[in-house]
Amino acid sequence: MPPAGGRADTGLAIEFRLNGETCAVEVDPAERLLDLLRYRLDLTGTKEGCGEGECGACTVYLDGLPVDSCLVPAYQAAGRDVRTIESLDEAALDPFLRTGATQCGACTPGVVMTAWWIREHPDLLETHGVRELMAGNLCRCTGYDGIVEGVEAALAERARGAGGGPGGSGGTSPGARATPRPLARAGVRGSGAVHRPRTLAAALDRLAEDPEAIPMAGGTDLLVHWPGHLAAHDRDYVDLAGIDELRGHRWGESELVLGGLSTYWELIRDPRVAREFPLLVDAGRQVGAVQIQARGTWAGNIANGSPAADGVPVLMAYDAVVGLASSAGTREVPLSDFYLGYKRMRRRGEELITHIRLPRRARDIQWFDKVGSRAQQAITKVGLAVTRDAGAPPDGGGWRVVANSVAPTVLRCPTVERLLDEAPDIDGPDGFAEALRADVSPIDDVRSSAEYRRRVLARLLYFGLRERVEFVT
Amino acid sequence: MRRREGLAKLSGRERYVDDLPLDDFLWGGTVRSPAPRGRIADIRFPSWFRGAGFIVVDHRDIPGRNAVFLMEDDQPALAPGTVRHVHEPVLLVAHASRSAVRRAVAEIEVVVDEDPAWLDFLAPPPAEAIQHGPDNVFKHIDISKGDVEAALARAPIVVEGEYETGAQEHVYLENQGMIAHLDGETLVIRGSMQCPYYIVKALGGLLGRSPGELRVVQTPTGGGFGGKEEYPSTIAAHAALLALAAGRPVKLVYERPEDLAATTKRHPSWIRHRTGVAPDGTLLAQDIEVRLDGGAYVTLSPVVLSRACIHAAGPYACDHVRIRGDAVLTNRVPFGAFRGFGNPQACFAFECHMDAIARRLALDPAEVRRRNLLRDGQTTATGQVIQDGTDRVALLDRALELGRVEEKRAAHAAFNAATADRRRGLGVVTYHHGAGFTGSGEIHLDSRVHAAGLPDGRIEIRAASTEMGQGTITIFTKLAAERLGVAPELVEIAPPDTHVVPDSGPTVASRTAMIVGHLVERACDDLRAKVGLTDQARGEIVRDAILAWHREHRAEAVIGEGRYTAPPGVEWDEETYRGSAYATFCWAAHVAEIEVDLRSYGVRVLDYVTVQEAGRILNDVLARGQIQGGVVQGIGWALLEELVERDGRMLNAQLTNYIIPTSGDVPPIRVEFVENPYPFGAQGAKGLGEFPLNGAGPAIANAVSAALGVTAASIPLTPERLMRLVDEAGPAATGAA
Repeated sequence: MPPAGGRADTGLAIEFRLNGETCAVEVDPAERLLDLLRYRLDLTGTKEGCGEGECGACTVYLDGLPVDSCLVPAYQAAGRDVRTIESLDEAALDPFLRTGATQCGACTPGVVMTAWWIREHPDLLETHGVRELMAGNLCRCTGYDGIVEGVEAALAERARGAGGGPGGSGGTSPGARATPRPLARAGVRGSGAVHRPRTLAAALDRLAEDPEAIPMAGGTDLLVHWPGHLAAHDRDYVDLAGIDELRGHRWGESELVLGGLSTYWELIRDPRVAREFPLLVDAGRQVGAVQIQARGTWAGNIANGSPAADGVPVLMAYDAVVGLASSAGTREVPLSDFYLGYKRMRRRGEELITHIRLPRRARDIQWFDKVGSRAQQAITKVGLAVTRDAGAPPDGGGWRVVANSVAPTVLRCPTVERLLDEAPDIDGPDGFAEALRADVSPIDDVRSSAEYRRRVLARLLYFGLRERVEFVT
Repeated sequence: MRRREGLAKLSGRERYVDDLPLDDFLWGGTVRSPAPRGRIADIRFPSWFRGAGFIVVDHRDIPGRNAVFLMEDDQPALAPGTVRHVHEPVLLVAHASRSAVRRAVAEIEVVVDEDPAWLDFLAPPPAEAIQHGPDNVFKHIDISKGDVEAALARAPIVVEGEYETGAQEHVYLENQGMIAHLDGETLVIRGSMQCPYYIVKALGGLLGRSPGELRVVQTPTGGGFGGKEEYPSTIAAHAALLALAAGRPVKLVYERPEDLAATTKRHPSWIRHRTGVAPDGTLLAQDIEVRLDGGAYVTLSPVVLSRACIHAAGPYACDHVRIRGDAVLTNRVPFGAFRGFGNPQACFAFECHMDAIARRLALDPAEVRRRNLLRDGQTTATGQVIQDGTDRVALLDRALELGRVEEKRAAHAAFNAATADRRRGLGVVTYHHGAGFTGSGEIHLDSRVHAAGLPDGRIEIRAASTEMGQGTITIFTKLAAERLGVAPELVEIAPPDTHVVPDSGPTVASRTAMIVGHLVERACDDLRAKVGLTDQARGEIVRDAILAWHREHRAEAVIGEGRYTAPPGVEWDEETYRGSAYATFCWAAHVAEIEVDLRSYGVRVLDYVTVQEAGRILNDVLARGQIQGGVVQGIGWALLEELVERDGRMLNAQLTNYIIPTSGDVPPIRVEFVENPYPFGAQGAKGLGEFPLNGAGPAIANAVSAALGVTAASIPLTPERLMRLVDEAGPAATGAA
């Protein structure tokens, strides 16, 4: 394998808005937005802390939303508005200085980007707390009090009309290099190619030709630890970002239809979703932090096939149907029937997930529990989504019990569902042990143990039902 | 005064090592051992490697002694044929393409003929596992006061307990990194570090270079916490070897997985207490054994053990104390300096044990502490007389009051009886932390600081003490400006550059504000004298005198010097471990309130109160930030942060799986200072950087124990571990549920 990629002509020409100016540049298919900003445009205010979308030190705005630039392929900046810390007016950052929001400073530019976004969108606080919104920015120095107080002070200044916004075309920090450094300077290179279709038909044609190519949506899974995933740099990708047909969700009379590119954040911010499909919002808010929610897509969560996927259980509990298309035609598969095994699914290489259909039905019971390794921004160790169809016949069939991180795939628990239909007296978590043994098969891994997962799943079921049905006491 | 470099950091202008402009350089990479112990049988290169333009360096390219000198020279810079731990550096590569370096590091195969690795620091090693001295013990310490055996035999009640703590990674947000290049004959090292002169010492012997031929410059450093005390010397050595081989600048910057897996962490510990007590809780005898896992090389383990042992008996008076400590070798990645430096482990054990004593005697845990806290005139385990005027009982009582402990205990009892799936509890701790180097350390360091009067009348403070977020620049500015009565803008803080600044000692041990800050003041005094003023001169007159001096001495420098002298009465016997272990101690009391979710066994911290005496507080915002950050780092250690290993290799070397607290995991940390100026610290300050961390581990564990009626004696208290603990305790832990 050649050391630096085998292609002679690798550059993808893109143009985007960068801190208010037009930036035209050739990027490598394996280059991250973070690499482009830091190593070729000399915008070093954006830091790399982890390369896995965990620490938020690389936070920039992409079309106005905070994202982790380590998880954005550089080519996906094309046609979009990118703002970095350098675009903020330094003088307006004084509140953060007063409260001690910075110590070592390595997390700070990312912290400030998220904090400033909150300051500019105080309506966020109608649904979210500052600590939840800041959870995608790890800080090891302050203990977060100085940061949270800084956000509050900045909001107070805004309310008083004080403090400037981001300077129109640029802040007070040094701007980007007028001439980007050459591609050789990019931190990451590979030998794979990226195709950037503008229509669904073109994307499907591409996949028909090369079913091994990987569709790229939000990148929040594929780009984790990207620089070290050398084999991934040599594969081919089909970028979905330019396909407007896949954007947005729409309401039908009897269904909610998510587009293939619908993001978590898009649904979290739709009050109607919160009313009719509250578990989508509950689960969406627990996928990573805001930076991930802004980029991650529901369809990507399905297609990635992780048993720990947080979006999939609630979709499954709402009887979601996955819409697939290839150049040969379209078909729909119930999500509960979609997975065949670990990372194996009914989507064929030449197919794309174009939409996700959710029937609008009244539920008299619905909840989602996620047990992660910490309160915010965690990978699920055990997860549970439960719904009951309010219109189900008395003899049953109305329960949906879906678990994640306890089997090779996210899955429904049919034995538990039948047990609930029977509504026997259950007076402790052990009452679910046998049914769960039939349904799930957790393992020991780096995050938890099989025993913990099995027992906690039973406890989530027990305590959740105890609050909601009479037969569990 | 606001943080001086704060706006540069907030705006992203501050340039860290990986942000610096650098042209025509190579990226460096480190090829490491895949095995915990053995002989390197072969190094296999991929077919494409030869002729691809790589610079390659191994141990044979080291011109001097192959050792990263610190306390001992047992740790090679590059493995000389054998390896002692996974990730031990074996070979270095450099190339203009960073991708090429990544591929090379991934595909160069180090083949090791493995010897049996020794990974258990608690069991006695068999003969074939011995790799250091006769018994793998890096350091043994004995501290003795009174007659423990006799006192234990007489004691009406003896309470025993064993306490364990795990490794902890620093997770400074800026990864480790160094740039090395030749400037004429001088080798220049720039990078992220706490201790520039450590690197001068470590590289001198390795490269055969005098300090004049070796210039080390600290770049703005994105967090250290001890993790950038000793390890940067290794990276500097590697970058230097590559740069010398290449004849071009080399940048060696770790990415997070490598930084997590390969660099030092906090020492895992096991501590046993056997304590004789009277029925009223009075301590009659303390017999304590301390064991630390040192990992594969000595590094700083002897001094970490020393601090752990000296603090092991807690801030309590007891006439009969015996402390025996060992730091031992295992074939794990070496453990090293981390905020608290052995005391967090010691504090975890003694503060959990105080609660165990209270439970055994059915006494209020606060009362047991109140009864035993050191009063002025009493002595510590090393015989040091405490006489500082701080009322330690009042500190505790203030924390209880702020934490509304009495009221909450009653509320928790009602809550726990009425709630099926949650339990609440409170944990109270009191503890101490010796500020500055242990024993005679400060005398050996012989630290110096310069205050230069510049030709334009400004004053430049020159010290090797680094800013890594804790506030050195701001504090030194304040101290110099106030000492001389000038505006802070007239004070410059020179970047730590070993060709410019004198050796003011390492930036460790919470010594910078207290000790080096005091040297800043003395250097200012000396400068004032050198320009013909008395110590009373302040303000414009100082500036005028500097300007006047330069008019009379063209092209000359006027430099005041502050040099360390020990405070009177501080005497320490390194052989017997008797005397004043520290010039002074800080004191603290914490109260943690937690809730256990019985569905998931997860612990949430509801409230956290700290009250501490750390001398005079020089800057309220900075000091408060140190306390809050330290406590949250301690909460992480107590609840979340677990090193998952197999065969000496870290399996969770990603921030997705090595979990530190987010803003959503912690409540506001409430901070109150009780000020009692320390006469020998700058403006009365004591060092406070490390000690807030110590209390969080036991405060959380004690709160969990209280909530569940269990004995939490081991951290991290992950939900999986708590589940087992609840199982062992039986139904009593959770009530009917």
